[in-house]
Amino acid sequence: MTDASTDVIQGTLDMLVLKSLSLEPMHGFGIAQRIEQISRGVFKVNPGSLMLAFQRMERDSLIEPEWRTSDKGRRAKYYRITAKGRRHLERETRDWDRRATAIARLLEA
Amino acid sequence: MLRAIALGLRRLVSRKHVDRELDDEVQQYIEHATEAHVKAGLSRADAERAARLEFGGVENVKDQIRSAGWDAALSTIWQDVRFGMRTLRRNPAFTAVTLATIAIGIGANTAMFSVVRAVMLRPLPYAKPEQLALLWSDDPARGLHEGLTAYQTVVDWRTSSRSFSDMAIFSTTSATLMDEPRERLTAAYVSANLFPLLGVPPVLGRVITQREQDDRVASVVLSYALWQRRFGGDSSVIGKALELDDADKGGLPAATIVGVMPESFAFPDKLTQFWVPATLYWRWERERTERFIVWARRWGVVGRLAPAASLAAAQRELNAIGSRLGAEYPATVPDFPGYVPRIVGLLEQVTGHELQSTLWLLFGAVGFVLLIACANVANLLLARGTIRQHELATRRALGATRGRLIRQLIVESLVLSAAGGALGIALAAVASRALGAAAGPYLPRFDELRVDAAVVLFAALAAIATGLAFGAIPALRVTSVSPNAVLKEGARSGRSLRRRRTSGSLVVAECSLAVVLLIGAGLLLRSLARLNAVDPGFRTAGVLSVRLALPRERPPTPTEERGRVDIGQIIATEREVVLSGLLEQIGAAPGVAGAAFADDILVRGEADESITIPGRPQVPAGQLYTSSVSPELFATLGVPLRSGRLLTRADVALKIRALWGGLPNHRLTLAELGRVSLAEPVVVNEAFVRRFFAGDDPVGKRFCIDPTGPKTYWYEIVGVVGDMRRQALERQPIPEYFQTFLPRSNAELLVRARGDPLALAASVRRLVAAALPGTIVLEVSTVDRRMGALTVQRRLQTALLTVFASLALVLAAIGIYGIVHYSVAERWHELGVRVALGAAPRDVLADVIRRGMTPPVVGMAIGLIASAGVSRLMTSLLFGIERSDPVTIAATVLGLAGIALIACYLPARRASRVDPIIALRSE
Repeated sequence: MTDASTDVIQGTLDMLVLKSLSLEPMHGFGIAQRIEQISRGVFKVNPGSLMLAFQRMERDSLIEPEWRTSDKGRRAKYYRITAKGRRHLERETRDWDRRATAIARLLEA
Repeated sequence: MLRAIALGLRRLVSRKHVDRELDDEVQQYIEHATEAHVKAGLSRADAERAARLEFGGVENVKDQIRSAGWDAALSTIWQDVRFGMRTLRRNPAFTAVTLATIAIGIGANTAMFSVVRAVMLRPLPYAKPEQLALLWSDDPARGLHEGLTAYQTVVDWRTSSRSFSDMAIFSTTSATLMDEPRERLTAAYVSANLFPLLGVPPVLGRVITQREQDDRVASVVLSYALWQRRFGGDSSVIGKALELDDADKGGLPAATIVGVMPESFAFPDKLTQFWVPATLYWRWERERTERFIVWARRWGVVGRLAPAASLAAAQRELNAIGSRLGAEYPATVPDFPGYVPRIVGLLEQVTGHELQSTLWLLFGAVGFVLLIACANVANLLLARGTIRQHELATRRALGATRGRLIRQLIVESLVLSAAGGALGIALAAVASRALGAAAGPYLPRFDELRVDAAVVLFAALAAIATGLAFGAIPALRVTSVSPNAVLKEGARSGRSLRRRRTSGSLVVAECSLAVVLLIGAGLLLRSLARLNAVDPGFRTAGVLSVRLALPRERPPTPTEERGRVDIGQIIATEREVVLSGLLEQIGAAPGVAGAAFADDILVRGEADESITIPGRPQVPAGQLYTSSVSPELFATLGVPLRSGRLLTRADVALKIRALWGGLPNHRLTLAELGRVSLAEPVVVNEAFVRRFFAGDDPVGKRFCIDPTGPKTYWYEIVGVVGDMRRQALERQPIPEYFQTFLPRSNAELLVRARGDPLALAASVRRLVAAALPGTIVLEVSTVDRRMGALTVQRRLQTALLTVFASLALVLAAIGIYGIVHYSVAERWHELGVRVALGAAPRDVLADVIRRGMTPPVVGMAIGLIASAGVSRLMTSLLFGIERSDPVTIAATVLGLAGIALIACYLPARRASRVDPIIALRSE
């Protein structure tokens, strides 16, 4: 994988995670499922990259961990989006739209 | 960002907890994935397998997550540090040599930095000291420096100048503290605005107010030291009286203590013990309106520059003001220096320009020593690196990046330099203390030498820089080989040629630096030797010097006052009798070969005498000096008589008559006056004759001082003595005339001893106390030591540079030895082959020595060229020798070559004894 595409993937992954969390807090696997669902199977997330992304985003204060006890009495680690995360998502979404339209125009021309 | 730091900290602190969390999270993920698969219809076992497969390498992912934070980088560095320390422990010999080398390099530099910091970098103890400057009325044409100024002129400057926000005056004096035990102290007359100008508040009480100055109130501010010493630091001292007696004509009255200054405060020097208003000076009213007369010019001036002003701008402004004043108030005396002051920054005044440049020179020199130390350690690391190549290659093969290895090697170097640096700080502390003790009494600010936070910081930075400097080259060099090549060939590497070249260059650099230092030290040593060989012209060894503050002459009795006889004459005659009697007594004491009085054995300060010799050109002030000596002085100090006769006791009587004698008729010409007036007999030195009499015999000739004033005073030359060099020996003897001794206040008693002069001190003190009760002994020393104080700076710089040069020599020798040693070890196999093929041991010896000596020789050549430039910086420090002194150069070259030869010879001898069979077997 070239660095450029990893960057894109990283940035996109962050956005997708944030989007998933924008409705409600979820645990790791739930987020992975959600992303698969929303993207209708186009993006199949590598669990390793996902966990690295969680760590990175937690460090940057975009998401917050939350430990919940499930009904089965097990402790599970959930993630919740922060206010900063929401702002980041908004910004990234706008940027993405702009870039997508530009690329579309380039390809049509 | 804070979050990142917090997370990292958490991971560092509770690693197990965080790891378990990570495990849990991963575990859950897989469980959830399994559930999903189960829901999709797989069996539990299949679902689990699928989930795990999807996840990928669990440990791999966990590892990546764990090593992503900054704490991970920190812990790998910590690992490197521990590994480095282990490696050092395993090679004690190598570690010891490198630690010692680094400790010496950093220690010497740190010690030198502590000197530079204490003397030059540390600000003076005043508010915004960079704005403070002194204003001197110099007269460079007459050789007068640090000339004092008249109060009226200071007023003129102060009102006109905009570059200075304020100016204050000060003048030091000697005063006797009359409370027992009596002490002679240095005090200062100051204007009330001095303390606010300097910006240092008192630690107790207050300072002198403007009101007190205007009303001439006798208030006094004490120094911290005086307060502690005489009053025990008692805070109720405010309001108490200080009984004083001024050594000059008008005694200081008893003064009321109003305040105490803090411990760090001193002005104008550390000797000044208390401050009183300038208006208390007994002739204040008389002198304050004068501009020209020499005795009105007695004030030192300190100014604070306005915030935006620079020294250069202030100097320009005062030049202009001075010219304007010169036009408005033309001088009425011939020796008036003018109204233009020379402005000197306060720090530069305290330290002296000469001392500053000397210290920078030495700081540069000691930097060379550190560079040589670095080169040595780099070489040793390079050599050791060859041995470690196998280990490093294995690690490379196992996946470590070159960057990771370089980082590890550099961390190891930093560990080494940190340990060496810590040792170096300890060494520097010891050296600092010793330097401060040795030079403290003689050189400014040296008594405040210590290893404080700034110095430690310097040492730390030096250690880091050193570690990077000597670690970088070996790290890069050693890891530049491809692991493949190393692992295939075993321990031997074919890249030794490049390594040898690097080593060689390092040795060349070391030797050239060492040569520069050695030549510098050699030049200074020879200068010192030449200086010590200068004959001072009088006996300096074995002479006791006792500096005294004589008690006041007795006041006249009522009878004498009524009798209207000349009281001054009587009292002076009495004093003379007492003093000669004392000298006789001391001369008769056991162990004494002679005794005499002088006002001061050393020529101090400026010679501001001006004499007129009828029929010859006027001698301006600054060219001449005068001293008062008792008649026995020349005999006691072994000064030869060249012509005429020496002074006698009868001459003292003549002097007294001349001092109190009748006024001559002013209608006579100067020459006629010279013939008829009473003249005081004086003896002159040869320099006087050379300068003013062009070699004619001056005996019998007369000269006078102040020929146009009301009190022209005449002297008659009765003899010529040999020159006495009583200043720094570098200077020519100053023309001098000696008057007979009739001291008012200060005197120096010189006693020539048959044995150790200091052994006579106690009995001399007793005799003095018996003859002149109330005399205060200021200092007991020997003439040797007092002359020695003149050369302290020269001796210090010579000693330090010699030490640095010696260190450089030793380090260079160790470096050469190490390289040759390692080179022989590397070439063991090849040498064995040579010998097996028929080479004689002598050939092997010659070969090794030739190879080993090549870098030092090249280095010496470069060093000789470099030192030609460097010694240009030192010309002002040399005495009696040329910059290109052949003896010094020859000694350096032979010395360094000789040591290098020995360093090469030892391993070469081992090499020449190589047993070919053993050598060929070893790999």
